[in-house]
Amino acid sequence: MIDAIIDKLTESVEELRTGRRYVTLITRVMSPNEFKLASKWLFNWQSELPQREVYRLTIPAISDTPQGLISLERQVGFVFVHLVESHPQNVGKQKRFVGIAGNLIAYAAMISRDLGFAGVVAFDAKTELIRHYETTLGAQLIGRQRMALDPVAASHLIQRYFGEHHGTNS
Amino acid sequence: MGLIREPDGVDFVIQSQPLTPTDVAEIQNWIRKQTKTSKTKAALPSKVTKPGKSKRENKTVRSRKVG
Repeated sequence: MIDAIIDKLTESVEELRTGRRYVTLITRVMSPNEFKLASKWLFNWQSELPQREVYRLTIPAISDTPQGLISLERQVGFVFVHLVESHPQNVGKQKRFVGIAGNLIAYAAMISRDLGFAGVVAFDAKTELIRHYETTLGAQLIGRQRMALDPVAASHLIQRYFGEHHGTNS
Repeated sequence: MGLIREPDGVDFVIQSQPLTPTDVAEIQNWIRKQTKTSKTKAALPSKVTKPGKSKRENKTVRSRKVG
């Protein structure tokens, strides 16, 4: 039995081929034993536990296969995102679903808000995505490649994905 | 509703460098500046508390001498 904290449903991933949007489910991964990942994932997600919090995004209408994963850490005043990755089938030119990672960043912002940090999230961005994060997430470049969501940007992102007030089980 | 698409030809991957104490302090300083310039206050506590714990949990309880 999976000891997972189940949280929030969003409808913000799209299947590229059909244009269909799906309801998603974000659950926390509590044990390395829960990972049954295909070998083509970029990062060693099992090693993220137990020192970091890992959450997976699934599309219940499709399967319980994680479509995206996020690893984060609670700091004083903010949440820091260490890793975000989409399922290997969601990368490259033939990606199946889009919107996975934005979903997960918004969830990190909601965790930060529920911890009393006003949604502040920080992370390091790939150079080619800095502009994308500025325009789509409202993130600010605060270091060479370090970006952060301020409370206003976080609030907009949470509202966009999760609508009215929802809470995490943080 | 949501749906933030990644740019064409780019895969959305985040791999952050491990945080150093200096990094943490810099981010916290940035947060304080945001708080000063924004109407919305970021909840950076005036006293440092352990992550994930409330002020109450970090409060030191003083015992009272009896007798």
